[in-house]
Amino acid sequence: MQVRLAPGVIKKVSVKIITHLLLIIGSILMLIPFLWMISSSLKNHAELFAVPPTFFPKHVAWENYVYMFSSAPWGLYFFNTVVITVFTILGQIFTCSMGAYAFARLRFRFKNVLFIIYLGTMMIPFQVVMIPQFKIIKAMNLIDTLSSLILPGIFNTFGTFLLRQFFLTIPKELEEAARIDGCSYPRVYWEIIMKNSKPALMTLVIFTFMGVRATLKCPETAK
Amino acid sequence: MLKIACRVLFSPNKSVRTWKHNACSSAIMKRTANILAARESVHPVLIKMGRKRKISLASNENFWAYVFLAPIIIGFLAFTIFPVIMSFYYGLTSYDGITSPKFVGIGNYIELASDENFLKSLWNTVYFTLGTVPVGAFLALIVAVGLNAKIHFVNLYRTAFFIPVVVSTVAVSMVWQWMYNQDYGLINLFLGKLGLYQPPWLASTSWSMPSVIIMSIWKGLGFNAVILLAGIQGISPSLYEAAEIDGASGIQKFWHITVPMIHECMAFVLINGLIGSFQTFDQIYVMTNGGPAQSTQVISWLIYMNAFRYFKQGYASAMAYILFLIIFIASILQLHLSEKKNY
Repeated sequence: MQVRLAPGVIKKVSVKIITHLLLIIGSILMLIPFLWMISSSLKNHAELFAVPPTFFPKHVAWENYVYMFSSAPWGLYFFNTVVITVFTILGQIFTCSMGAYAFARLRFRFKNVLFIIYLGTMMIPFQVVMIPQFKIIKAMNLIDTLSSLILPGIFNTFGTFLLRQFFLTIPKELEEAARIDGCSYPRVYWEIIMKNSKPALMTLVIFTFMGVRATLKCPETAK
Repeated sequence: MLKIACRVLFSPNKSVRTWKHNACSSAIMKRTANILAARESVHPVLIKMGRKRKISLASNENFWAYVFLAPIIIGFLAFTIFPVIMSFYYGLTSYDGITSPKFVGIGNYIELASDENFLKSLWNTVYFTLGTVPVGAFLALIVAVGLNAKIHFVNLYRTAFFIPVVVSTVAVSMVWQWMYNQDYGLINLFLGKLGLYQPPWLASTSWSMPSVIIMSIWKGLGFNAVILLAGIQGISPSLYEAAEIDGASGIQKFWHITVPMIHECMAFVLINGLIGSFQTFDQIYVMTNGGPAQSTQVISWLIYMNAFRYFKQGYASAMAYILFLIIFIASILQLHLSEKKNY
């Protein structure tokens, strides 16, 4: 008796193979610039400008890396980036979570109006606030300091919105129970909201980390 | 003292004072009140005490709400609201950033309407947006469908597509600039081996913008694909099962189930892409610096140059407001359209 595959199985397998092929081609296209970057970093000067260009360097020039570290104070640059990123993240966790707690849980006057205005400002392009922000930083005597890059960055509308959405999912009963036992609002915020929001806070940290580390214009502006 | 003053200030009515005198002394009353405050969702919670005295328990909550909001309100006023007002004012002045601004009314806006440089940059921005957003969203949809397939190594593929999103735009712009090089670049090496036309890319006025567009699509593809992937994963499998029973093909399922069901995610991708691409700056600044011959001079680059290179800050502010207006209208329009398309 011959073993015959059902036509459905053949079709399924071929669809899988095609999907794999397309995804592999796509992934290679996505990664080529990085491979090219690595390959270029290991070429000597002559090979870098060779016509036609080579993908694999004939002579691996490790000395490029040695030269790189001696060519600029990279230690200082990394230190600056780390300081700006860490303080921006800490500041954002503090401001965003507090604001988000109020918007998610507390009842107060003008809540909806405030929230809509606050979210609406996400539409304002950075170019609009760029010049006045520079003036404000200048008026505060913070030009050419790391604080000038940290201070405007610790307020993040998107971060507040992100945390608010998460805080809304924390069961209200936890909070009510704590309130009945006489827990104050700041303690509810810290003990219940913050301690139950580690995944959301981590998300905020990652987003901020990615955004701050790669800023170009804001540092340029505040120079 | 300050605390009480704040309470009075922020309380919805004056009854808080009565509460201070009467209810506070009774611990039992306070406890009951707390329970009620927690249970009731009406604001403000008012409990009748005796004949005419009322207490407001929510006033405490109101006070604390503003305490919690204080940091973001201060930051918001200082770094958003105040700057927005200031730059509107600058837009009506002639201002070099050093001497005090001279009021010129709508002079800047009149000048903008006939400024060829500005109109050119406006067109370039539209060109960039039309090139990036629809094509990028379409490619992202295809990628998202592929990344949703239940196959081996799918996480590996997802990572590969997401890596460009994580890397700094400045760094990858440098790499792409090198890859686009007419003589030493990787792209023309490939095209040459395949015997195809080798465009001059960043060196020519007609190819410079497409070059920046291709690079930007590459950079944003992973982000858009992940958003759409989340949308696809949220579709109930029963819809596909029902379609399968009715004998729908894979392509039919894609067009009649996947596409309509993710229209909200698609709207987000489009709006987000639109707002982002109207503000594109980094890759232009690094790769072409607006050139050659202003062919990649986009609006945000021109604003930056006017503000911090030519020191025409009043003029730059007026331009920024035009950009704001465009983004505002586009967002409203997009939101409106995506809501209408509700299935």
